[in-house]
Amino acid sequence: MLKTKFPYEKVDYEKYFQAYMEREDAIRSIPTEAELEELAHKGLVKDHLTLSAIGEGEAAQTGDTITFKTESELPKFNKEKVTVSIGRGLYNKELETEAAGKKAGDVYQITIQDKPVTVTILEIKRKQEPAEVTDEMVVGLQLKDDGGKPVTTVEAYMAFMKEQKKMECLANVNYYVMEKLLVDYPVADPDQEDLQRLKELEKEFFVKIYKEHDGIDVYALSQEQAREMWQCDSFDDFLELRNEWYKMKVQQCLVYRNILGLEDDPAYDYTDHYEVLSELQMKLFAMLEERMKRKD
Amino acid sequence: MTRFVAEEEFDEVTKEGFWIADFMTDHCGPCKMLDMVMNEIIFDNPEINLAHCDIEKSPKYCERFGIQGTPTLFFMMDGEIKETMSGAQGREVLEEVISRVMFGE
Repeated sequence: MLKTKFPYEKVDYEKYFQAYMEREDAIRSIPTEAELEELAHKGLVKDHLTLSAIGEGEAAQTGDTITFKTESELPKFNKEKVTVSIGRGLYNKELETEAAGKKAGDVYQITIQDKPVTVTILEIKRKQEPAEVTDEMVVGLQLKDDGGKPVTTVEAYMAFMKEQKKMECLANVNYYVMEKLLVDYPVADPDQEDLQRLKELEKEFFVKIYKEHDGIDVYALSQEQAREMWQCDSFDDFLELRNEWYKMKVQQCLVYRNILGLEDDPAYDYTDHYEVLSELQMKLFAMLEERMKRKD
Repeated sequence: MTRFVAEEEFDEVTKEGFWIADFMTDHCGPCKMLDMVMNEIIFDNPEINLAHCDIEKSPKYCERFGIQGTPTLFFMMDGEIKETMSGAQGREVLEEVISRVMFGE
């Protein structure tokens, strides 16, 4: 039974969430299903694109890969051959924008940093996607899901990538908000029994994980091996070094429980089992997901 | 173009042109986040080469390059490391470095 009391009545989560949403670089919504689909598709076909020269007399479009010759006083724009996919401005935004609509052999002039730059279009190539996506393509990506299982089919891949992107959006918001909350809602003195219990839970967890994943008995390691793994003399020292983390975990759990209205729910007693923090975080993510779904 | 590159073949693979070497592991969360961004960059710019360097499958990478954590990125031109970066970054930040290394200031 946890002993530390959260010394605040109600965390003003809304204030911090809104502050995040007002930021210039905020992710304001989770991509729609169609956008997620497109993102996943790009990840799968990116290694199977072919670049072919466009037809004679055909004009360049944004996204085409163009080889230019550039002439000017500026070293960056005085190159015999430079190849770039136009549109994102990796070489120069204006130069690339002007190239759209031009044909191979066309020459044009622009001004960059007050200097004239003459641009000759040598070659225009357009990317073509493979006719179909296959399980072999997925296998080539060598992906593993969060459970460590290889992702081997197109269906599994699409689901995996969509979930990854969604979680990335949610994690971004959560990181910003929690960082602020942990500063503004300090828990100065967590109960020592709570901290000790968290340490025991973590000890059990690490002993099991090292054994199962790496076949390592953490108590049988030499001092040298322990130093290599944790930069300290033993597994017990390693746990000791994590005292600050136990305090933060108490605080995080208390904040999450308060936000989610779970303060009286024994299922979320963090001294009872190791995964409570992750479970609370996933519950908060579910709440955020609802908030951040595209409304259009 | 993306490919997995073992330490033994690293020099040969990256010796020509522009390469991004992505030192990663397949269970690292930020690596997966970075992957999503890199997917879009590579799709939109097929002329960019990306080498996935799994530091668990090729632990020699850590010793050789002093990799402290994943993801770590090297931006390379003709086999020379021009810039390095750690952690998952957004598309704009990555494109800024790519632009600098590929085309100069």
